[in-house]
Amino acid sequence: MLSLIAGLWLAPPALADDVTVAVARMPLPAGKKLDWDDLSTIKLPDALVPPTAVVLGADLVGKTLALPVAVQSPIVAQRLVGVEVPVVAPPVDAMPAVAEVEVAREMGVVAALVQAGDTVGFVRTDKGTPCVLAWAEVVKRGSPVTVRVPAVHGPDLASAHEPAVLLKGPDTHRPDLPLCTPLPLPDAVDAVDAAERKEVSP
Amino acid sequence: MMWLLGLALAQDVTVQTARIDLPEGHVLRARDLSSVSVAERGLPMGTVTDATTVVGRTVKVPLFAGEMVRGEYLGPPQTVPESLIPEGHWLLPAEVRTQSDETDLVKLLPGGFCVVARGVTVVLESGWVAVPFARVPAAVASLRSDASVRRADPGMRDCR
Repeated sequence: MLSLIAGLWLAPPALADDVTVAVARMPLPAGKKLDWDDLSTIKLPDALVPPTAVVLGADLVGKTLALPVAVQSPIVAQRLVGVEVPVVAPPVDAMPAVAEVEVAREMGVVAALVQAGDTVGFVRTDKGTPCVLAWAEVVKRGSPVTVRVPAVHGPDLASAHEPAVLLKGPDTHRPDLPLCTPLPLPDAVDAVDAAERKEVSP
Repeated sequence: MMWLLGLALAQDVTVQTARIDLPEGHVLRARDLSSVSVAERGLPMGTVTDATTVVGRTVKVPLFAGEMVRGEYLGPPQTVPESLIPEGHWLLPAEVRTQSDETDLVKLLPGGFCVVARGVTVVLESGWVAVPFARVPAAVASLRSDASVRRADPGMRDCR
């Protein structure tokens, strides 16, 4: 009877928003072909299940890992060889106010200073008053650097001839500079600026 | 009954997850992480709860948005690249014509030199300078002109 009570005590109670998800039963190396012995299931709060997680063991067995997986971690599609990563809509509160595209640009020596998540600005300096071609978020460093920009600014940035790059340092926000091509919705600009100010405010 | 008691006594912990995709070599910053508050019981082993223990460490195995940050995926601490830029500054290109530690961004006008931004910091020897936020618009406006970084001169007038 005591052991029964102890068992009840030790078993984590499942909550309404818990999700049963397949996880690695042990640390799994890259190149491992998954079988049932490699997997177990646990209940996780919905907030801890990555949006691209493959939650069913049946969908994992037979697949090969492209990257290692830590013990008791859900396995996301990006860690599997040849599995299409589902396009995941961002949460409503993180939804960009305007459509965005990714653009690859060479950034010279400053590429060594940027990381994913950094804010950069591209300034046109070859004609007229300097103006901002696009404010961008770095998606992937390297050569070239991949950045995400408002879709309306994508073509201009992709075709720009050696724009000057501005790189945001810590604890600051976006300066008030003229855009070469205004964003279509004034409200959208306000929303993006407000989101950025919120990000840097303590 | 015991479950209900367990629920009542369960403590919440903060679990660190990746806010965005973080490639190999990325040096973790606080803003790369999302904190998720969950009940401590049943949490997978090795889950990182304290962001300060991982900020500054290098990503050894790529992390993907929403994944729990795990120590196994991280390597040793490294300098965050952006820490080369002083707080409250933006980095932009400029011709550097001094080796002085005290520098201003100046512009040559018909009447002589004037100061675009005082107290700028040369970050990369190859021509990158950190400019205080308030002076970024003026510095950007001078990108096409004959602007350069020179030894600070408190007596030089400001550009208008």
